[in-house]
Amino acid sequence: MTIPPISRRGLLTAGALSCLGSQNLSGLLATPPNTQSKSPPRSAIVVFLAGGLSHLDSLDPKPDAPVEIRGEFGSIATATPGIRLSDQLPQLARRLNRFTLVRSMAHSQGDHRLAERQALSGERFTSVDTPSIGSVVAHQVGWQVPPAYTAIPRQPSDAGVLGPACNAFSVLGDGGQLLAQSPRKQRRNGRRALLRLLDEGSAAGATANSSELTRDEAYQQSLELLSSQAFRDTINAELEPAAVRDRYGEHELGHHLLLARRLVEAGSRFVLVPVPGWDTHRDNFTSLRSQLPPLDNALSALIDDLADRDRLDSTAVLVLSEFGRTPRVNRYSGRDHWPRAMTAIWCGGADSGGRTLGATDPKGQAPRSNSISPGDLAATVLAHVGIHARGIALPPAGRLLLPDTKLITSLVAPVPMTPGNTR
Amino acid sequence: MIDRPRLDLSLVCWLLLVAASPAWASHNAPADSNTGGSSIDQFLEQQLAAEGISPGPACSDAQFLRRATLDACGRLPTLEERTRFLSDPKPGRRHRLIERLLGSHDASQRWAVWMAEWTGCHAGLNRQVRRASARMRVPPESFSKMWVEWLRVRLERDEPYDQIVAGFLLATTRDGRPDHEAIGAQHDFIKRVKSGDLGSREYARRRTNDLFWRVHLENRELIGSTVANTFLGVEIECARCHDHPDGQWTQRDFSDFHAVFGRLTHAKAPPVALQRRVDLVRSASMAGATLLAALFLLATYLARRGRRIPARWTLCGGLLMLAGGVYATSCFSHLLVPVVTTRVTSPGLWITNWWLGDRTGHMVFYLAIALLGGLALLATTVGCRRLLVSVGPRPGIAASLAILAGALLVATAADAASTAKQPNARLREPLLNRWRRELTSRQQPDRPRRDTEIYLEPLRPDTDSVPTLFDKTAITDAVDDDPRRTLLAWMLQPPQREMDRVIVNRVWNEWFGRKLAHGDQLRLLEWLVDDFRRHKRSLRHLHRLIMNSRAYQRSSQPVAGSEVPANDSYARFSPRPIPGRALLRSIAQASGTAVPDSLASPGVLPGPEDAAERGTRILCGQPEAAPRLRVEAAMYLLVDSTLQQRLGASGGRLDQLLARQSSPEQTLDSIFLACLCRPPSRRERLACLEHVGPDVRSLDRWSDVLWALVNSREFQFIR
Repeated sequence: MTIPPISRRGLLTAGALSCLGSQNLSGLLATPPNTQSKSPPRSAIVVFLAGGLSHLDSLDPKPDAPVEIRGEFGSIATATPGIRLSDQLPQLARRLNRFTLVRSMAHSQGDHRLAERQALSGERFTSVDTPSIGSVVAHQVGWQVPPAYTAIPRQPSDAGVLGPACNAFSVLGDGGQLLAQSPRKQRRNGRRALLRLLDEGSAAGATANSSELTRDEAYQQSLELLSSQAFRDTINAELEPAAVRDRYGEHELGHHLLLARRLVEAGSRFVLVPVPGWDTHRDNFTSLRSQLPPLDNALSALIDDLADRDRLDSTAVLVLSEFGRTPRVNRYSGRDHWPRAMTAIWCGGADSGGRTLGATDPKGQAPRSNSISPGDLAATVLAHVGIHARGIALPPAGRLLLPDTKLITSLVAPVPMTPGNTR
Repeated sequence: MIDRPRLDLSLVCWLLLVAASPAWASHNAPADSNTGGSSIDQFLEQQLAAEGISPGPACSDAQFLRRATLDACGRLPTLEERTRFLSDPKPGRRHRLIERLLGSHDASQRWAVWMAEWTGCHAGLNRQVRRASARMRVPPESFSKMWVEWLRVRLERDEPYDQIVAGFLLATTRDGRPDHEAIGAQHDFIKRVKSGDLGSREYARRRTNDLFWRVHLENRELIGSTVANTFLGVEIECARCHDHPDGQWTQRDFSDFHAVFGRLTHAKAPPVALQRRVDLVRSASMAGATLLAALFLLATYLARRGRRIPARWTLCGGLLMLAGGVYATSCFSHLLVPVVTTRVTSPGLWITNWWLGDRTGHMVFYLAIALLGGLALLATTVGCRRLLVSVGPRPGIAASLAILAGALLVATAADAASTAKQPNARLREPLLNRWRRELTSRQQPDRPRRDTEIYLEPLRPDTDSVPTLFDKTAITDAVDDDPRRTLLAWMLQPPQREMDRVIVNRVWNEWFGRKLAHGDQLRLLEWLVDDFRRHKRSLRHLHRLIMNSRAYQRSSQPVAGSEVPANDSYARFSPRPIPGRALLRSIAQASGTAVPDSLASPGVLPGPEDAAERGTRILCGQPEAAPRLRVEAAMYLLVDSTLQQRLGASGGRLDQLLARQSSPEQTLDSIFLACLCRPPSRRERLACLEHVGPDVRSLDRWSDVLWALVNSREFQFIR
């Protein structure tokens, strides 16, 4: 077969046309090769405190309120005059100039499961079909190693209509444990050849239907993951110097946040770190005395670490909970659910730090003026990662993602709606 | 005179009948399910013809065996089944296979697990299942297996679908049994479960399945939408928080439909031990009162002979004791006439109870009433005798008996009238029967009941929403006081077809991987629903109809016009991945090892620390709608150590084949037949034998071959 002659014009035209064809999203959002040395791709670490963090005892103390509202903890001054934090968070208080306290968050969902789905997806009315923002990131970025959406230790399936390919990769759950079990190299090669042979025989390719293609894709991606020694090293915290590991602390949260930092360095775009145990209906103060110091320690270690490695611009750290807790302490010295006021921490990205966004009334019952909904925060996180939420239409019917939300412009620069991230 | 030939009327009728018979035949002839589901094929082939696609050929017998066994029974065919099927004489071979498969235990288990999953016992509701089983004091695996076994027994009997739905919808824990029997059964059941028996066979004998409510009432606010979604396929969950944008469902509609289940409670039922004890004492006291009256009659008879009692005293005391006597005789009426009792409301009883405590208080109170009653009878009889003294002793006795009978009638009438006015009036069995049974039963009724159960609370007249059906009609007069019965009756009545449509489409989805969704396919759906109803909603008939159709038996080879994956018509059989549960079972079969135990409990998700049950967690932890093959599932199948051990397990298929000293070709054939239901091709044979290498007894090398087979696309798909 002779190769037909190609003119120079034809070659250039073909090249230009191929650029149009390759406008897939992974191309737009992954790092273009020539800018890789300049700035790493923007990513987000979301620390989700499951159960409902008591905002009055941690991030939004009310020292002037009566004792049945302010509780047992005192408050301390921070790096920014005028802002006070609970006395259980001294290290974070010293670093307040690096992050912003979003004190005016409010919504109306008091149920755990629904509020958690709302916080992690941004939608007000959720169902099992609602995709979380992590899975939206996975969907837009596409497949890569390390996976775009990872969770430490694990996150159940939350991709909804976007399909199971967009679920989180559970780094310390089944996914990570399977990665740790790998047979010796020679046997692997031998039997993989057999597998390839068997699969060639059974008519796939052009005549395969969608489920066969999904299966082939899943196998290809898992083989990529299994053969990636770099990824195995990323999730192995032992490779980190002992000094760094000690700085984060010997507890689980410290270990998880250290892994989160390693993952964003390796290229994961959205790391979710769910932390259980904040649902303090009883003995609120006893529980928080044991839970807040590790959080304080690990978070400040993370912030320092990211700052040292010059990653605070490209990595946003968001500390979020389902809802706040009641201003009035109940009779079991605990606090109950209070979605009308809650506080979140935003660190990094385009944010300058050292301030509060909004404030609650003197009793911590509700934001004083404009409130920020979880949807707004979700849209902001997506914008930081480089995704314009408004431009995305979800399968199967094209419903728009996060339709009624507005970006918090002081935390992130708005993403222009380019043809690539509009469907 | 020649007789004009008259038109014989009977002959005319006969001729008309003969002429019309083809019309009758074609109108009434149901497509016999054994002749190949001809109507399904008519519909689908018409559609293909309209699109210009000619349908593909039928699949080979070996392919059909694997496909049918996987779909119907959720497992691979065994080597014996394969030999038996292929040596069966050709005509009717597939029909007979279908009958064998549908009647097997595995098939009823597979479809029972499927039905258990979408009725609520699935891994997504893992937390609710664990909570409900803890409240029932049984292990969660047991809870799950009870649910499945209850369904399996019914599917094995091919019970009509509407009766299965009734079994779920109308469930209570007592199940219409009298209190004592229900409590005794519950105690027995818990004892059995504690001793290790799972209790699922026991549970399957119940008429209704209350586990459904035990799980779903954990999320009480969504109970209406759960029932609507499960049985009618309607999503109304959104209306909980806001009105539907098109105005179809408002929040008010949601709460009114929710009120159908408003009185259903999962809690410790009101105490009945107290009631029973009270009734025992009541009946004992009545026996005492009657005895006293009899003694008094004897005394008056004897007194007539000599002694005199001052009339003043008897008349005053008599009036006082008459009141007590009437009350006492009213208790007597319970012995003979079934009337309603709900709670004991007498103020005297409360006072004595408070003063003396529960048991003693009751004894004392009722003995006092019995005594008073006896004395009252005494007094009234004496008084009447004084009045009728002239009549003589015999009429005195007659008068006493007459007064006794009169008091009895009055008391019964008063009691019945007063209790009939109470809401929630239900007839109960007469006390004497129950008392007799209690005395002869082996169960101690005194153990306090601490178990939770599903029951209907009494109707409160001041409830704020009236139960409403889907078509917005209010249930003002519920059948047997249970609005769920009205709902079920409404669901089954002819204009309503949603329940049948939903089940038929779900079953179709299981067989074909997609539902009948648009255009002409909806006409086929309506025909299938009519056929389903004609055959008394038999699920087995529906399975048989589908399995015998040409559409199900087509080859999976691509056909011109149907290559584009999105445009999957019924021109060929569309391959689809083996569902997670069936895949794990098939792998266990292929490797010759035991099936993991967690596969039999659909509602229980193994915890994250459980490495051995990782397969169930990854492959069965997702809702059925999502395709299971994703990165973690692929990784599990590729590298999981428990799975690898299974493939080369001692005592497994490979071990046995190698121990039997079979030649490598025989071993290879055997594992190919077990996994893919076909012998290896020449190329495959060469490659596998080359991989095994010179050491033909090496278990490691052979398990590599089995690994490749189990991870191959052909193994993992139903094609």
